[in-house]
Amino acid sequence: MSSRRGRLCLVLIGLCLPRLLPAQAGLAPGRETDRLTARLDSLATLWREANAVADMVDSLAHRPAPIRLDSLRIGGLSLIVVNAPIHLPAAADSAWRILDAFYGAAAATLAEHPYRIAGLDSGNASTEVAGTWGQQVPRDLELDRLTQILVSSAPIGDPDPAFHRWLGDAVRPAFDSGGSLSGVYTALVTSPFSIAHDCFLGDVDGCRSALNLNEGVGALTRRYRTPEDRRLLISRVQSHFEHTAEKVVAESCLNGGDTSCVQLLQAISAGALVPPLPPVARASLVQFAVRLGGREAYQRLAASAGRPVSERLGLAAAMPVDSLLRQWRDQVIRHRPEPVAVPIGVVSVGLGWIMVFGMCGLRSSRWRVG
Amino acid sequence: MFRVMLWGQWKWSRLAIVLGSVAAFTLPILSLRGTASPDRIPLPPAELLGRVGAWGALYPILAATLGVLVAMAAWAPDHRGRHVHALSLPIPRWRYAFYRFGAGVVLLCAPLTALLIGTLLASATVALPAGIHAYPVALTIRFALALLIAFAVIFAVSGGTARTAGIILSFIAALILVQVVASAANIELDLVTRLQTIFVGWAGPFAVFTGRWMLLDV
Repeated sequence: MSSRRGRLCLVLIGLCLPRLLPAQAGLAPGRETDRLTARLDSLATLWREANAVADMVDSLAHRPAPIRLDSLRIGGLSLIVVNAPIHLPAAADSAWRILDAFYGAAAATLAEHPYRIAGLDSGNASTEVAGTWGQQVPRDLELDRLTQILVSSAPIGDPDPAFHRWLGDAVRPAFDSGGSLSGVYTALVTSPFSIAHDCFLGDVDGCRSALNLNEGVGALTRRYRTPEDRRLLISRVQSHFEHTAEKVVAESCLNGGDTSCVQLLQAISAGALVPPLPPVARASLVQFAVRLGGREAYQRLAASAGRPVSERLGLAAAMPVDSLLRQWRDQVIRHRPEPVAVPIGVVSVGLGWIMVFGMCGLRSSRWRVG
Repeated sequence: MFRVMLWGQWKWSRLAIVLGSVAAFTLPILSLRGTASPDRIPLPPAELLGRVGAWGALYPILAATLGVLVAMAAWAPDHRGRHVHALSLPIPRWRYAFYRFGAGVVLLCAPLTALLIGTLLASATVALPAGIHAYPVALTIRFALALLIAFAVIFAVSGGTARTAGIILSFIAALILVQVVASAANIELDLVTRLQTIFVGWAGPFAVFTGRWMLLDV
C-alpha cells in the first residue's frame, strides 16, 4: 500500500474511533454487541471506500503526461494521430486513392469519420503514452502494410443486414486483387463441393450456386447438387443433430440415404451451412462488380437494399448478373497461381553452386599436405 | 580409368544407391496411394493436395541423405588407405578428383531415374480432379538439384584435409558461440537469421531445399 493510501485510511479510522468508544458504556451485552458489530461493519465500508479513493489517487499520480494529438488531412481522409507512424502521410495518400476509386462519391463521408492512429515505438515508454487510444501500429510499419490497415479499417462500407449476411463482412476494396483472385482460383479447384468445380469449368449457373446467389425453392439442392455433396455437408454439421429428433435421419443420410440428406438440408439453419466457396470468393465478386460499375457502383449497390443479392450486384456492375459472373470467372482463371515448376533462375543458381563446390573439391590440398 | 573408378565407387556405395533408388521410386507412388483406385470415392482436392504436400517433405530429406552418403563413400577408401593408391596413379590430383566427382554423379543418376519413373507412373494412374495438375518433371529437376548440391558440398568437404574440415567446423562453432554470448548479453545480434538468408535465400546454395515439393498442384 502506498504511504498516501495508508495516511488516508488512518485519518478515516481516527475520525470513526471517537464515535465508537463512548458508546461502550451503559448498554446490555447482547444489544451492545449488535451495535458494535453494526459500527464495525460501517467501519469496514468506510475502509473499502477509503481504499477506492486511495486507488484513484495512486492512479492519478501515475498517469502519464497528457498525450499530444495531431490532426492530419490527407486527400479526403481525416486522421487524429499520436506519435505519427513514419510512413503515415504516404500510406494515407495511397489509401485515399484506393478508397476514392472504389467508393466513388460515397468516399466523401470519410472526412467526417476520422481515423485514430497511435504509433508505437519499440520501447515501452511510447506504449504507455499511447495507452489504449486509437488503432495502435508500430511507428516504423512498412508503407504497404500501413496502407492496407487504413484501407481495411475505413469507416465505410457496412452494408445492410441482408447483404452483410451474404457477404459476411463489410464491402471493402481489394488491396491485392491479384492475390485474392489467385486464392479464389485455388478455392474453386480445391472446394470439396462439386458445384465449385462446375463453376471452375465455366458453368455460370454453377458459379451462381457456388456463390450462394441462388435463392428460393430448390436453391439448396442446386448448391449441394450431388448425393456426395449432401452427405459431405451433413457430415460437417453432424453435431447439430446430436441431441435432436433428426439424429436418426442424419445417420441414415451418412449411411447413404439421400432422401434423408435432402430432408435434413431443409432443416439446417442458413448460418450453419458450409458454403462451397469461402468468403474471399464472394468478396472478390463484389469488388469486381464495383470496379466494373465505375464511380457510382458502390452507391447503386448501397441504394438497392431489399432486392436479391444477385440483382444488386448486377445493378452495381451495370450489366446482367450472368455476364458479371462470366467475366468474374474468366478473371479468376486468368489469375491461376504460379505452378510449382522450378524457375530457370533457381536452376541456374543451383547449377552454379554445384560447380562452385565441385571446383572446391578439385582444388583440395590433401596431396600437397601429404 | 574412369570406368575402374566408377566400378569401385559403385561397390562402396551400392547399398545407398539401391535403397535410395527404391525409396525414390516408391515415394511418389505411396504419396498417391488410395487415390489411384477407380472404385474408390476420390479424395476431395484439398485433402489430396494436403496429403501430397505432407509426403513432399520427404523428397529433400531423401535427396540430402543420398547426396551425403554417396559423397562420403567416394572418399572413404582413399582416407582409409592414406591416399597411397591415388598417389601411385600417373594422373594429376584435379583429374583424379574430377573422376571421383563424375563417378558419383553418374551413380546418382540411378535414383534420379527411379524418381522420374515413379512420379510419371504415379501421375498416370491417378484420376486428377479438374484444375489439379501433375508436375513429375519439375519435381525430378528439383530433386536432382538438391541431390547434386548435397553431393557437391560433402564431396568438397570430405575431399579436403582434416585441417580444412576442422576450419569449417570451428567457424560454425564460433558462429554459434557468438550467437549464444550475444543472446546472453542481450545484444541485438541475429546471426541465425542472417545465415539462414545467406544459405537458403533465393541465391543461397540450399535454396532449392526449401519451397514446395509438390507432385500435384493447382
